Amino acid sequence: MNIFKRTARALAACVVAVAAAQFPAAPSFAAQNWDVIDDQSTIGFAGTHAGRPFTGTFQSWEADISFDPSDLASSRAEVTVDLASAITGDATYDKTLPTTDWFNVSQIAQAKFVTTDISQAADGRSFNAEGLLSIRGVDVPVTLTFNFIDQGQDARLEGTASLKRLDFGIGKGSDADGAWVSLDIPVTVSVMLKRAD
Amino acid sequence: MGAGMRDPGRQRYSAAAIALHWAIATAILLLLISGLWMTDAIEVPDTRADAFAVYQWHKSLGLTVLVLSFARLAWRLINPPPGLPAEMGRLERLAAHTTHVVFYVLMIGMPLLGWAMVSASVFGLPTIVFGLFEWPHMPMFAELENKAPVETALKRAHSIGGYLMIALLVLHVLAALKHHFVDRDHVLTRMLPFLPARRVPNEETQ
Repeated sequence: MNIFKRTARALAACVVAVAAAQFPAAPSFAAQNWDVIDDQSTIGFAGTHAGRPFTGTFQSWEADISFDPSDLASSRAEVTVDLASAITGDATYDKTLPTTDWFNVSQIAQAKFVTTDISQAADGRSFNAEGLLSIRGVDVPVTLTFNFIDQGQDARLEGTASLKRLDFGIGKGSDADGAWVSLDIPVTVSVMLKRAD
Repeated sequence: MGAGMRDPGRQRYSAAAIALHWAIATAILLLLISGLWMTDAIEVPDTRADAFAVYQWHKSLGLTVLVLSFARLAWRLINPPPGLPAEMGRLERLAAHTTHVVFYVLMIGMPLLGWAMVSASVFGLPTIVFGLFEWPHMPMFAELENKAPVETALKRAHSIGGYLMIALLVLHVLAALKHHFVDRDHVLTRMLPFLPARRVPNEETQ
């Protein structure tokens, strides 16, 4: 009977999920861990609305960063951003961003970026962090290009990524051709890090 | 003014009615001008950003008219306006009353239509009254499954209402001028601010 099949399938799915949770994919040797110094770090975004530039920042986010310039293979980062915390300084924008057609925070409150590979950039100084960025439940491969300035106990990480909002379906219902809000949304990351254990 | 049978206040509108009339008149004039300008300017890339700002301001001003018009209507019910000159004929009185009824319908109906239109907008933009606080959307329009056709219909109605308001305004001003310069009665002056209370014949003031 169909009901048994379905139950069996559901059980199998549970088993797989539990098993996956027990054995998270972890790097064999972790690179140096870093803590973010929140009040000296920002994640910002920019764009134009009706041809006029705007900028914004996310007030609430956290990052799990393991990074060693000499051990890129075991370097990784995972960033979680509360999308509802976006502020631009314009009340009309700020009240619109969380709505269904834009960040849709009532469905999925957070954006998540998980690196898949970090490599030296062609210029020999900066780095490319390739990863998957998930917004509104859509995963898109994104490359964050960054500089890492080691200052001993601290380090500064400055990076940029260029996002296309329609890749994530952001604003596709009300502004699918970029007549209002630019399709290109550059994101900047400026983070002060402190060595962690 | 003497404590006679005729109260000079009856000859003029009350100070509150005069203040509300001119505040609403100024707002309506600004709403008509901004409405005419912004609906075209929003289509032109060079003026789009300014037009967007004007839209936000237009929404705030429209809601102000809504509130002031209710206040004025309430004030009018408690403090009935002075009567029309005895010389006016039946048709003239009917025309005057009709014009004023339509004015109230538009003064309250236009902001409501605009509010409905903003609520039904596919953009879902919030209304922040003069940048100070958020005015909610009308749920029956904000929660529509298919907003676009409803928004279009409401926009059309709001636009027609705007042109009707212009026609009514012209009629109103011409009528007021006719009363003042042709009939030479007090219909215009009794609504003008900063005038002393109209002197009642056979009464020495001061």
